[in-house]
Amino acid sequence: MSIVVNLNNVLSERNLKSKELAEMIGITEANLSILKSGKAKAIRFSTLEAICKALDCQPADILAYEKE
Amino acid sequence: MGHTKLFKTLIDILFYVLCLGLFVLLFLGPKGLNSIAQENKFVQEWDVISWLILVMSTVAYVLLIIGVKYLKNVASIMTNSISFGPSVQINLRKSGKFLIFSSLLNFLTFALIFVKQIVLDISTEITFDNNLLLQIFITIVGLYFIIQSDILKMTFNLKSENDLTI
Repeated sequence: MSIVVNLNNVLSERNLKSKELAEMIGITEANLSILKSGKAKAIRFSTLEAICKALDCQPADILAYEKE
Repeated sequence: MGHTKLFKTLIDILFYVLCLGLFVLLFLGPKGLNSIAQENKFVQEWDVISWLILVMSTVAYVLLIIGVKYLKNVASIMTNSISFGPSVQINLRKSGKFLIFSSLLNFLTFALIFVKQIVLDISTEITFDNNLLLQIFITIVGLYFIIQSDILKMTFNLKSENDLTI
């Protein structure tokens, strides 16, 4: 997929673990893992908003487009 | 759930009755077989076309049984859990295909009987044939199963996409 999820980078910059982020934004660790691994088909605006709010970042910090 | 069990029971009954019919046709039939297509002719007097009609009818009957067998699989899966996974889709599609093959072969057999009556017996009659309508109905059912299989595939893809939406 040409959309890349950079959640791991942002998490390491903030010194946060996946479990903590999952608790903060109210989704399961399994779903967060799907999102991080790039297996997710789509992301809800509400989830994106919650992640941005929790990590104090912009959507572009998490998602990026890469040419295949 | 009650409807599913009734559906499975009826499919099972149909399957076993059809298998019994095949058993009679293959093993018990030849002992007393002396007529075909309402022509009271002894087996020894049959021509090539009469034998061809018998073979085509038998093959069509076997195809029908295979179609019902796949439908039986669908019913079995649906009884365990209401599922629209790949196994239901595949079995439903195969069932539809075999029902269509069976009815098409029956159409050919009817056509052969019709031609035989015209060419060899030089006699024909125009009648309201319920068997022909039944074949059209089976073809429609077979096509419906294939369409239903495609719809289930779309539904399954939508569900997968929904499950992977975070």
